[in-house]
Amino acid sequence: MSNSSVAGSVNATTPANNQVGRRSLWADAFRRLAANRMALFGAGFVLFVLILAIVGPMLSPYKYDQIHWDAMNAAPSSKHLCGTDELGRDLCTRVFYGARVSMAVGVLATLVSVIIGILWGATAGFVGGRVDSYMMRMVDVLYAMPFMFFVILLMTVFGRNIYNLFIALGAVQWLTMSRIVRGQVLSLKQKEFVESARAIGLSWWLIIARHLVRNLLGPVIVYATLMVPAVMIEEAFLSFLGLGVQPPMSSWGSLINEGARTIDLYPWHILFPGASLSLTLLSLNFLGDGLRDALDPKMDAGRAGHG
Amino acid sequence: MSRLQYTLWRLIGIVPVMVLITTFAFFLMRAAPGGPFDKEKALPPEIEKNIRAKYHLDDPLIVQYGRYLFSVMRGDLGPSFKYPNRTVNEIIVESFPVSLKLGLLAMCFALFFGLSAGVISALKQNRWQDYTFMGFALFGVSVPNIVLGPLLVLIFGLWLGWLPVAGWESPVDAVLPTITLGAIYVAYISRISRAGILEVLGQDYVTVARAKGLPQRIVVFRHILRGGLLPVVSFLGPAFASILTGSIVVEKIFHIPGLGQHFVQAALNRDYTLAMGTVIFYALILILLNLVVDLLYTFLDPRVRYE
Repeated sequence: MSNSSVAGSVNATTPANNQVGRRSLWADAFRRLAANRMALFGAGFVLFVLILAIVGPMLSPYKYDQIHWDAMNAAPSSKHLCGTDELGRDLCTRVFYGARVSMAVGVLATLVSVIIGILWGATAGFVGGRVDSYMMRMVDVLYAMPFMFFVILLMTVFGRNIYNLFIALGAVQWLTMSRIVRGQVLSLKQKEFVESARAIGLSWWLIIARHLVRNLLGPVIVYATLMVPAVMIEEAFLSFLGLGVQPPMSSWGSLINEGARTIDLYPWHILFPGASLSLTLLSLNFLGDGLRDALDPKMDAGRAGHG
Repeated sequence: MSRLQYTLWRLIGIVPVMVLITTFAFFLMRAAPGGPFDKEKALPPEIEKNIRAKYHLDDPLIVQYGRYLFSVMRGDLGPSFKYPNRTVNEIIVESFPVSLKLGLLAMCFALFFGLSAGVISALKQNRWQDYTFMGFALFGVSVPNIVLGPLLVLIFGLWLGWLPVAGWESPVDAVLPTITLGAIYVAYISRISRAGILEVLGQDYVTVARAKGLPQRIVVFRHILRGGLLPVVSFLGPAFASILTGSIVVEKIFHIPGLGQHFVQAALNRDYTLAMGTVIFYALILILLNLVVDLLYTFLDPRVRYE
């Protein structure tokens, strides 16, 4: 109806009306996201991988570490959809199982670094002054560090298990997040609605809980979504070097490592995990870009996502 | 502050950072369970005692730390624990040039193709050239080098037989490793340079240059590129760090005898001094490169102030 569309456009052009209008910032963002086919495809594929990662290993007739001496290096067939590896383990099951590990590392390590990044950035931005400049100077210094080398040292020292992987990767990814959060907090502190909240006599805690957190959520979600693929690449990188997930467990990185060794004879060993990883990364990038356009059209493209 | 003062100030700032990194690496490696001389068969106690005495491992920790810090500051990274009679410095001097050559090749490759694609895409915005290049760039950031490397080996090495799949002797050996290492930066640089140029295109000084009747060639090279490529320069810092890291994987895939391979081996073998030495060396290189990038930035963009 023409009436509602006019009302909608008025709301969109006057953000101050967001709270009273029918469409909130989030509904608006959701509409923009839903109009973005690439982002929807990304979201759909990621969801698909997540479901496969959870139920795939349960549905499969084989276990991920079940050895079949009579079917070593079998080509893909109806019995083994993706073939089998050097020990006759069903590759399909191993790829599903690897999806579990890769996704879990991606999400949990991102969570670790989001928490550190928010705490660090929000403290710096909130306290301001000297504390802020020291904290951010430290981030600058850390930015110049060869992170993956430190992660490799951490994995060597504390043992190559999956929990250390979460912590080591999470511990090095928080820098950009802390910068984004600090910048947001600094600018939000100056905004009129925070000023007026203070004028009414709201305590700082209420201001943080009610105004700052809500406004920080957008950029944090966007950057966290873009951080997941970055962390997944790093996990794959470590497992590829033999420093991440240890056999008989599998992750996409370790499967790619095994596949690369036998690529001349059994190319499907690398095909399935490699394609899974690449397609998932592509989907996450689609989704992250779409979320960024939907939630914060002003954010800088190309900057986030590497570090 | 003049440029010279700024440079000196930054150079002095390197010292505390390096002390911090050395300290961190030292205590991290000392916290590791299991010693560098743990073999399957325990060494006879007298021999182990002699070895420990030779490497001063029986001194109090603080004495060991002081000795290590002092020798690092003089540029001596100590003896390797796993390669008897070789020092860390010798190993670095021998293998780093290989990694450096690979990294530089990849960087040149990435800059050439990334800038070309980015500039063309921006100038032909929303035409087929733009869509083609940006589509490739999107896929480029999603295919990690651990997948791309084996894939290139399979196609160009094994199936077509055009290029060698391993080794580091003749120039042609470098083709596949360079592409594997540089591909993702082609993608990043093309996206960043496209965004940068699009931002500049709307600026008044570009309109003025056009209005003066300058030929397109001069407008592009003299006016647009200079401002539009600044974001690429600031991307170079993180790119260097990530190329050094990526080099580890590429060296492994193509059996290239670079420092990355030594580092992973050192981490796996608990060769403390070699692993620490590599991290310290790479940290120094990255800090210096970042300084160079920052200085380059001040030359290119006179608006930047020294802090």
